[in-house]
Amino acid sequence: MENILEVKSVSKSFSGVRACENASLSIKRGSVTSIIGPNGAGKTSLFNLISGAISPDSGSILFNEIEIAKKHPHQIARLGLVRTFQGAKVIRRLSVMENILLAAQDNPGDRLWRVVTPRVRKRFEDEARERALELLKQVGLTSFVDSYAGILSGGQRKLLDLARAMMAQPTMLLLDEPFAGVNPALVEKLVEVLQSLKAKHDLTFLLVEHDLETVMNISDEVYVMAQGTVIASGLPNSIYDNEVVIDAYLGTRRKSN
Amino acid sequence: MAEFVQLLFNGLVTGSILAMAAVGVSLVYGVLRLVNFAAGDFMTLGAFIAVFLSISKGLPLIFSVIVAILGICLLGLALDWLLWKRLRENKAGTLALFLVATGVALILRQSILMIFSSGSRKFAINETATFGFLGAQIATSQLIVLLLATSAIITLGLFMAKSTIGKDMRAFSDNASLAAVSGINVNKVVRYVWIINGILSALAGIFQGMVQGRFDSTMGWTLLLPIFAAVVLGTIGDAYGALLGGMTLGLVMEMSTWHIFFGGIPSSYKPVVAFATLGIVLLVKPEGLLGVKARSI
Amino acid sequence: MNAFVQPGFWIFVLLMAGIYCIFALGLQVQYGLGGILNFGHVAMMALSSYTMAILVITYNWNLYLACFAGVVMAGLGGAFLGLTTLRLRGDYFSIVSIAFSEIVRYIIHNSDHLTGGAQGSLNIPSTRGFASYTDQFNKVLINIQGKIKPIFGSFASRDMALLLIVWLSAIILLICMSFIQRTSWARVLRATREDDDVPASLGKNVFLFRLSAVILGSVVGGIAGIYWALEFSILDPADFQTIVTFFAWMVIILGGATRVKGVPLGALFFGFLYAGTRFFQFPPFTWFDSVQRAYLRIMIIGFVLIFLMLKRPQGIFGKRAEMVLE
Repeated sequence: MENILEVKSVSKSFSGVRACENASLSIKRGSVTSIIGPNGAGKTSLFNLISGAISPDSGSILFNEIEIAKKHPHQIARLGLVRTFQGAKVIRRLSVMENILLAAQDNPGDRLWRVVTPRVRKRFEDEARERALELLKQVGLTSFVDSYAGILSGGQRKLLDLARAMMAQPTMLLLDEPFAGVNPALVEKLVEVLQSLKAKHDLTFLLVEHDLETVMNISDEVYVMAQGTVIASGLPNSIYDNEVVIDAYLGTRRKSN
Repeated sequence: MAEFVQLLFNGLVTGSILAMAAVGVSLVYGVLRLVNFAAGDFMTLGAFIAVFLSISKGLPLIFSVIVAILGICLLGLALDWLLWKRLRENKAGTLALFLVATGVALILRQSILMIFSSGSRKFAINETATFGFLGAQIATSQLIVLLLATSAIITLGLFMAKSTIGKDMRAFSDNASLAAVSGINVNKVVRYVWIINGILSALAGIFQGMVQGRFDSTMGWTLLLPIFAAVVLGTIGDAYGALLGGMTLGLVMEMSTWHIFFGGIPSSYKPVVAFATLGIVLLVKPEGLLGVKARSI
Repeated sequence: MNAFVQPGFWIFVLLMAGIYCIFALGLQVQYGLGGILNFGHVAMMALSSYTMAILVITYNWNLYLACFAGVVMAGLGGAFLGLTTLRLRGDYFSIVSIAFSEIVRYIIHNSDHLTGGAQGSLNIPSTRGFASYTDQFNKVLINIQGKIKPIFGSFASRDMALLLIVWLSAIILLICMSFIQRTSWARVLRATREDDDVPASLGKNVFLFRLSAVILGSVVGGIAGIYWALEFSILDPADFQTIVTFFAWMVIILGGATRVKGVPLGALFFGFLYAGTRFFQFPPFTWFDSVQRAYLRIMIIGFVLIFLMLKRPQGIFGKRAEMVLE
C-alpha cells in the first residue's frame, strides 16, 4: 500500500479540552513529512496518539493497514513504528552502548528463563553490538561507546536517541522536535544523518517541528495544525503562501525557536 | 430493620473516625509527600494520654483530651523538626521517607508499650447507656462521638476552605515548588499540617477508644490498614477524598456484617473487606475516586 | 555476657543471617534492578511456609514435594500481587503491597481449621495425631550432623547442619542472581527504573518485565520461608508481620541496595545486630525488665533504620557515588 500511515479523523479530549479534533493524515511510504503549527495546535497530542501513549476518543490510525489506535506503545514499536522524544530521553545510568542495545528487537536475553542458555544470549548480543557500533559510527558517537549516557550533551543525546531508534529496525520513525534547541551546525549534521539513514534503510519519517526553515528544506510534504485540527497540507512551497496558515501563525511568516 | 439501623449507625461512627484519621494522613502526604505510618500510633498515643490523665490521675475528661491533643501536635512538630525537615533538605526519595516513617512507627509503638505497658484501658464513660431509634438500640456514646466527629470535620472543612492558611495548604499540595516561589510561607504551612494532623489523630484515637469500650496498644495499628485504604480510595493527597473514602469504607465495613450478605461477613474480616473494596475501585479508577491519572510508578 | 561465649548462640545468629540473606535477595532483585518498592515481601515467606506445613501435616505429602509446592505458592502470590497492583502509581503500589501481606497474615490468623490460626501450626488438623512436618527432615539433619562431626567436633549440632544447607543455598542463589544481572532482561529493568517511556518506545512491555521481577523475587523469598519453617518447626502468624519485610529492607540497604554481593554482608550485620541485642545484659539495659527489653530491642532497630537513611543511605558497603536512592 502506498500510504504507510493513515490517520483518520482522530479526536481526543482531556477534561473537556479538545486536544485533537478530526485530525487526518496520509503519509506516503518513503517520504519525509512534517507537522507544524503554533503552540497548542495539538501536534504533540497527535504524535502521542500515533505512538500509542494515549488513545483516541474516536477515529482510527492505520499503520501498514493495521489498526493501531488502541494499541500500547510497545506493541506499536514492535510493528516497526518507533519514536524519539522531545529533549532526547536517554537512560542516564546506562552506557551509550547499553542504551542502544536496549533497542535490539527480539533479544532472547529479554526472557528471564534464558539465563540458563548463555551461549544463545551471547551470540545475539555480539551481533547486536556490531550493529550498534555501526550506528554509532554513522552518528559520530563512537568515542562515547562505554560512557554513561548521562554525561552526553544535549546535541549528543539527540544523536544517541536517533541511533537508538534506528537500532530497533523501524520502517517508520516519528521524530519529536528533533531540531529543538540545537545549534545550526548540529542541525546540519542531523539533517545529513537523517538523509543518509533514509537512503540506506528505506525509511519513512514523520516529524513534529518548530524550526520552519529546516522543515521546509527537508520535507516532501507538510501538514499544518491549529487548534487541534489539520488546517492545510501539501508541498512546502504551497504552505508559505497559504492564507489560512499565515492567519494561524498570526501574521508571522517565520517563527524562530 | 433494627439490624440495618444499628449497622448504619456503626458505619457512620466508624466512618467518621476513619475519615478524621484519613484526612490527617492525606494532608501530611499532600503537603509533605510523606506516608505517615505512625498515624495509627499517633491515635493510640492520643487515646492513652487522655485515658491515663482522666483515669489514673483523675483529671477532668475535657482537660485530658486537650492535653492529649496538645501532646500529639507537639509530637508531630518535634518529629518534623528532627527528621522530616532534614530529609526534605536532603531531597530524600520515597524509599528513605518510607523507611524512616516505619522506623518512627516502630519506635513509637514500642515506647507506648514501654510507658503504658500492655493491657487494655477504658474511658470513664458509660458505654452501656443506649437509646432506642427505629427499633435499634444505639449506644449513647456512639451518638456523642458521631456528633463530635462531625463537628470537628465540618470545622476543619470550613477552616481549609475559608482561611488563608487553608488556601495556602491546598496550593502547596497541588504544586509545592510553585507555591514556594509564590511567597507562601512553607514553614508555616508545614507547622499547620502537623497541628491539624495532631488534632485529628488525637481525637480519632480518643473517639475510637470511647466507642470500642476497651482498647489496647494495638488499637491504632489495627485501624491503620482501613485508614490507608480510605486515603488511597479518596486519592492520596486529597483531603476531601479522604473524607469521602473514610465514610465510604466505614459504612462498607460495618454493613458487610449484615446477615443478608451470606449470613454476614465475620467482623474480624472487616479490614479485608475495606481492602477488597479499595481493590475493586482501583481496578476501575487506578488513581482513586477523585484523582487525575498519573503515570504509573 | 555468658551467651556471647556459647557457640550455639553464634551458630543460631549465622543461621538467621543466612535465612535473611536469601529473603533479602528476593527483595533486592525487585528493588535493585527494577526500582520496585515492594513492602509486602514477608507474605511470600508466609505463603511458602504455611503451604508446605499444611500439605505435610494435613495431606501427608512428601516433605520435599511440599517444599517445592510452597515455593511455587510464593511465586503465585507474587504473580497475584504484581498482576493486581503493578499498574498502580508507585506510592499506591507500596501501600497496597503492605496491605497484601497483612491480609495474608490476617487470613492465616483467622483460619483455624486450615492453618491453626493464632495458635500456630501445632494446631493444624492432622490425621496422624500430631502436627509436625520436620520428621523426615530431621533425619537428614542428623545425617549431616554425623558427617560434619569429624570437622567441627562438639560444635556440630542440628542447627549447624541446617546452617550449612542454608548458606550453601544462599551462595548458589547469589551466583544465580549475579548471572541474571548480566542479561538483557536486567538491562531493560534497569532502564525502567529511570524511565518507562523509553523502553516502551523500543518495544519492551514494561509491565511484564516488572511482573517477572516480582515473581522471581517472590520465589526466592519463598525459599527463605521454607528454611524458616524447617528451622523453627512451628509456624506462627505473628512471625510474619510487616516488620520482617522492613528487616529485609534494612539488610539490602546495609549492603548497598543495588549490589547483589552486598546482601550477605548486610544480612550478617543485621543478624548480629538483632540477635546480639538479645543478650545485652549490661547497663543501661539492665535497668529494664525483660519484657521492656524486648520492646527496647525493636526500638533499637527503628533507630538504626532511621540513622541509616539519614546519615548513610548507601549502607556500610556501598559507595555514595553508586547510590541510586533517588
